[in-house]
Amino acid sequence: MSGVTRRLLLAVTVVMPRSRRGWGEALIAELSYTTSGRDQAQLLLGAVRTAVLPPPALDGCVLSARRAALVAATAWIPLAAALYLTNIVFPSAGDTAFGALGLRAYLVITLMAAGAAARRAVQGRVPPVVAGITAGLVLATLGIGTFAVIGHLGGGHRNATLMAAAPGVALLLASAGALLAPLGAIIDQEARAAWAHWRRVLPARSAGR
Amino acid sequence: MKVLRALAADAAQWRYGYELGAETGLKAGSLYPILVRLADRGFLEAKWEESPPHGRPARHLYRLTEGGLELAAADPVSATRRPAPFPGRGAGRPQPAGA
Repeated sequence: MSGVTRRLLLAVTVVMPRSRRGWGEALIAELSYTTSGRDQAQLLLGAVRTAVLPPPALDGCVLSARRAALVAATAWIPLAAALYLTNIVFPSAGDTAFGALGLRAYLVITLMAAGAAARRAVQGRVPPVVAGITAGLVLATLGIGTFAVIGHLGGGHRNATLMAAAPGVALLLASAGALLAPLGAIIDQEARAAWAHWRRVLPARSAGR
Repeated sequence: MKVLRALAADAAQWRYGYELGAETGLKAGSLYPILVRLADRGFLEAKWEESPPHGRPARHLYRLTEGGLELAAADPVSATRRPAPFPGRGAGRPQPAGA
């Protein structure tokens, strides 16, 4: 197994970012000191995990993307429930303008919230954009999945149309996210600053009276 | 954090990864990503062993930097979860020797 593991470790080291290759070489060196197959497999796992670790400069982006994905996925749960109820349990003849408007407003708020969550985690201009793109893609994926399930449950045959529209929906939501999430981050930052200001000012004013 | 504590226990001593794994109970698959992250944040320095056993390759040795020692002494759990400031405003990031 050692020979195979060594070759695999070498392959992983070669594909590592240049700044990480020293770690790959260190793991290859450790291989000579291990005897059990399990330890060798662990070294290989360590190399793979090291290879996929984001470089430090991207830490902020990765963290903001994770936050955004969590925000988007959480926000999708009530929306999916509402879509299921209105399409399967209590199906209506057609989409109401109110429902369509509500859906868009909810998506806008979710994308902005993703940007705010990213800004709270990491400073900088880029993380909210990354967060917005991530949230947009997560919403698109979950949305397409939900509509596919609803279409299937409803006995419709719209899935081919849905799949054809999927790339466009993903691109649209990712672009909207890239624009709206930074806006959400700014609004959140300003709102928090204003709130902090008023929390300082109001007690001082009431004490002065 | 076990790794920080193990490294801080004898701060002047250079340690092998295998030794750290045995001490902390962490397998290599978990230990090395932790060491990489600590080094990325400037808390760990690494160098190649100077006189390896005959016929065996030199291994990496690790020890905490001053920053790493401060981190271990302060509040390692919350401090290591804190993200590095973005972009590139964090502490120095020494790479392992020979990397």
